[in-house]
Amino acid sequence: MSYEAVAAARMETIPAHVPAELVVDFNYFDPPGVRDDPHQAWKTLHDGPDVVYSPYNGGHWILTRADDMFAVMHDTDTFSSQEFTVPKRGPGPQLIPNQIDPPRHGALKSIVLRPLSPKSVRPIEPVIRELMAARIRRLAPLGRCEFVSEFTDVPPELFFEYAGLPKALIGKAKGLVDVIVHTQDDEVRRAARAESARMLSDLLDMWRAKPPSDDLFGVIIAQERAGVLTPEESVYYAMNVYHGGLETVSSALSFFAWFLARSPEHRRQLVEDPSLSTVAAEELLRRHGILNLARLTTRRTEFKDVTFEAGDLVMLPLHLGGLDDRKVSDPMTVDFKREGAPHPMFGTGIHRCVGSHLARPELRIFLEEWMKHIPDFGLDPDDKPIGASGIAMSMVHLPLVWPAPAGQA
Amino acid sequence: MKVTVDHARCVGHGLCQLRAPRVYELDDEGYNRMLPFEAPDGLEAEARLGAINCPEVAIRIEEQNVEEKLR
Repeated sequence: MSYEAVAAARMETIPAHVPAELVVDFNYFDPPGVRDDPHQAWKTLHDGPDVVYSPYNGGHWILTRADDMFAVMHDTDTFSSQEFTVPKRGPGPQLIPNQIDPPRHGALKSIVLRPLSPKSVRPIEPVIRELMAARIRRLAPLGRCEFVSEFTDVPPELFFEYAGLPKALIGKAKGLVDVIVHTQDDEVRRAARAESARMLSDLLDMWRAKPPSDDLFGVIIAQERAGVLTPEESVYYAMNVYHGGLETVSSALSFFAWFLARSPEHRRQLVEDPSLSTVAAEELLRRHGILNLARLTTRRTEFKDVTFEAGDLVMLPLHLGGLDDRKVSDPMTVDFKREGAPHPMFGTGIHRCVGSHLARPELRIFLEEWMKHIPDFGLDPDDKPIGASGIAMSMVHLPLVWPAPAGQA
Repeated sequence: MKVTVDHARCVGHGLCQLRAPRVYELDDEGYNRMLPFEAPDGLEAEARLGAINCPEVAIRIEEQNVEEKLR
């Protein structure tokens, strides 16, 4: 079929309540220009209306502005989390607590709040630092690395360490999550989810055989023993927290490294004042958000002169919320001196990312340790970086080079 | 300077404490459950920084006099 024929076939599937002028030719897994710069590829949507409709992936609305995303994430009656990614998952086991709405959500989420609170995470900062530094020290003498394959497995390793999971499974686990967030083939995604569920079910058996513990899987099993969660719900709870821990921080780090490789000025600021790292991590995250989430409309509702019907999927590209010039001046510029630039990268409202207190120190410590050991680095002039979009945005290929110490290259 | 935290709005981002660790405290679950308080002397700017970085706009700051606003 010609491109026009494909486009025409898609248009036929557009529901009648969608105004033609709001339809965009935008497949979120593969927007034009995504390989060169995923965020720039999305940023083009800010040239159009605040609410648009993509006919791809089953058809869904896209909100482009931070305030609208905020409003939808807070209106849990009208916008359910039962579906929270595009395309729809459909019937089947729900991830807990991500796919659970009030009133059940609160009690379920509170199960993992303690093991993932700032207080619980603080004591493991030295472990985060040691794991990050060990890898960076190993790479430093080489003078080059392909960042995605040679560094981004560190956050999953940290998560496995934190959760007490067997490290032999990291490769398999990360492979499955990569498929889940990036594939456009829904059958493949379903198969990867099922395989993930089997793996987690086996892992949880280890905790079921152990005395009670207050670690991440321990608190889930405690609720299973108390009858709050069924054994299947435990699996989908564990899957929820562990998927969050595997993909997102790695993706963020790939963008941090890509940006810093191109900006000697920002590298200089971080080298001269490592205490900038906390705000630098926030600002780099605002500029390079990761997630494309969604909500399911539960009842017909008017939203900014547009009608959403019950069953409509509404996408919230959180990263685009961080690049909204109505919230942040000069949003494409990274400025470590911004006084305040609150961003929705971890979501807002009741589904705020529960792993954010583990993610933030990882991002900060990465900046501190990388800049300490590899202060000067750039892109490999002979090998182009490649970006990708999907449920999570990331760099998928990132060759870096730096001056290696004499005699070691 | 009076600082008031809206407990119903706080969902535990922890950004107030991240930006202003000498002013804000979080409970064991990561929520800010502080009762209304006076910002400690000299930490007014830090208190404000924590407030403007709250994604839920859950922290209200009331400047009590002109001198404070200029500080």
